[in-house]
Amino acid sequence: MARLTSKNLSVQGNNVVILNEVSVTFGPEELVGVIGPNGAGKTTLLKSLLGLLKPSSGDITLDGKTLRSWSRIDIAKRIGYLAQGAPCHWPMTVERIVEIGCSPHSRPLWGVDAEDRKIVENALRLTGISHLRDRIVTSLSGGERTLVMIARCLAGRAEILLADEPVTGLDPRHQIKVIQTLLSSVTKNTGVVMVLHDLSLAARYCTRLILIHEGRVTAEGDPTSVLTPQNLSDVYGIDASLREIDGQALVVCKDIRI
Amino acid sequence: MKPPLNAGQTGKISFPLLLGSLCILVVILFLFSVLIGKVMIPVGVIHEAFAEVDTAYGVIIRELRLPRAILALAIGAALGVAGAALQGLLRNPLAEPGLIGVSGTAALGAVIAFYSGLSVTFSFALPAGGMIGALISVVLLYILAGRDPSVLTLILAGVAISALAGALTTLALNLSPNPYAAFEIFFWLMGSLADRSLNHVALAVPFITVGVVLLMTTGPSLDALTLGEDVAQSLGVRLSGLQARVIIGTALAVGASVSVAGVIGFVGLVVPHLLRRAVGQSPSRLLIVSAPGGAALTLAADTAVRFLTNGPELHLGVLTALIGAPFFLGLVLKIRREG
Repeated sequence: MARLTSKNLSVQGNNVVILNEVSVTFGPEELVGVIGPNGAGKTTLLKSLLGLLKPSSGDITLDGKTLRSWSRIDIAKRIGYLAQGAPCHWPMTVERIVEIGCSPHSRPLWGVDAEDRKIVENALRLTGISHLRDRIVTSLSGGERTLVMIARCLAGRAEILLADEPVTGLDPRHQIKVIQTLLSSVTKNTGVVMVLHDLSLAARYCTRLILIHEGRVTAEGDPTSVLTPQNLSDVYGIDASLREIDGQALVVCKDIRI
Repeated sequence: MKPPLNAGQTGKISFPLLLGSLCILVVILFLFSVLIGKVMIPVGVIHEAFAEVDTAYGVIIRELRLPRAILALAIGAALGVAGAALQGLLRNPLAEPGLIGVSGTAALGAVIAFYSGLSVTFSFALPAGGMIGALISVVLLYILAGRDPSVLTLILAGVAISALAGALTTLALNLSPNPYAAFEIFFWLMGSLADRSLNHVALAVPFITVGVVLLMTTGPSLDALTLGEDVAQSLGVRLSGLQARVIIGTALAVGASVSVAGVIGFVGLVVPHLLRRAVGQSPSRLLIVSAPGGAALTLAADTAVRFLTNGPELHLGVLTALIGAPFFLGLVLKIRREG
């Protein structure tokens, strides 16, 4: 069971403070939503937690050990990453992309062994894309492509998955399909952290929300305690509130505040 | 780039079968390269090359054909693998050692070694010059275009590097006190494997081998890089290590090749392009099959130049450019169409 923690994490880029004293912790058994306006520092937080960006101060620890003392390959075995926009530069088949996901654990020069084959099959099945296995990733729709990348992450068997805007730009059906797939991969041993902009989806599916504004954590906790009219007004500059319709959470935005 | 929906279906030929067929093709073409030429050698006399007593056939095989065939094999493999590796690193199907100025800069390095007389006193100066030239150009190219997979940046960077290397090479030719030396360099630049000896093999092949092996180790990392630099790192790829292996591997393989054979262009473009679909676009598999693929193309082209003209033999580099340039044009048109 992995536990990923940042303590007073600050990150600078081009002399601008992007993250300011951020202390968060992620572990198994939860789907955490990271929300906040554009440019708040959400992507920077995920990249820092992966060790892709150097903190200017503060520290990140994985299982109590500072991330700097972990090798890239050992981080890869524990933390998975779903990049924004599910990039793929060559028109490869779905199956082959999911196979690449196994690489933190085994790196044969070609092909995959029997155990990896089973893991790939399982990942395809869990994400419901077994029928797409021979399709070319770059020819798929955005939603299908995101599911392929989730399958790729599942094949990596990471304990914490960091997903950067996995549902942005998807149709409603695929948004729910992607979030349900991520939710179903949350287990006793694994957790998912997801950046998203749709506050209603965040309220409905996330067990915990972290609201980031101008590089700081403004609020943290269960959706009702975070998505208060006051917070939404302060952070997003909107006149909005969290409602419930037919038992489903919904953030209703009435107007913008000037 | 949007390929047709069924582009992956052609990748159904099994990988070991493809690799095996290519290797058998290389063996056959290697034999052709040894046996076929202005003098046709019967298969039955191959053993004379290693006989105690010299025979005409034996000498032709040992002194002329064998070095040529070995160099074609090694250089073809080097150019094919270097092309595939650069394409994987830069995520760009147009990356090719000749096209983006690596071969040209390697040639400049070799010309400087030759021109300064260093290569006369110290024979390893020739491959060393080629490898240093290639190294400088790959590093430059990576600084200019490495983080940006766009075709335009890569080609512009390549044009700039080629232009600089070309200008400095012609400067050396221009300043040459001896017109014959200039003439010799000029012909050497065209790229050829004719009249090479086992000395050339000994000079280049060890470096080429190390370079190709180094490039071969980058396969799994290049696969991961398909998903972008951030995701590749999240999968455990050390980006700096990968870059270093591709850059040094290319410098060794291409630099040593150019220093003994001149510029043989387009092999690194044509071979990966022809094989990419057959391996389902996978960078790691492409890397592996590009070795026998490049060797086969170069052996075939080098055997063909012996017959294409009456009188003086066509230079190998001229033939590969004549095949490769229209091929490149077609590829550019295809990329434009697919937007």
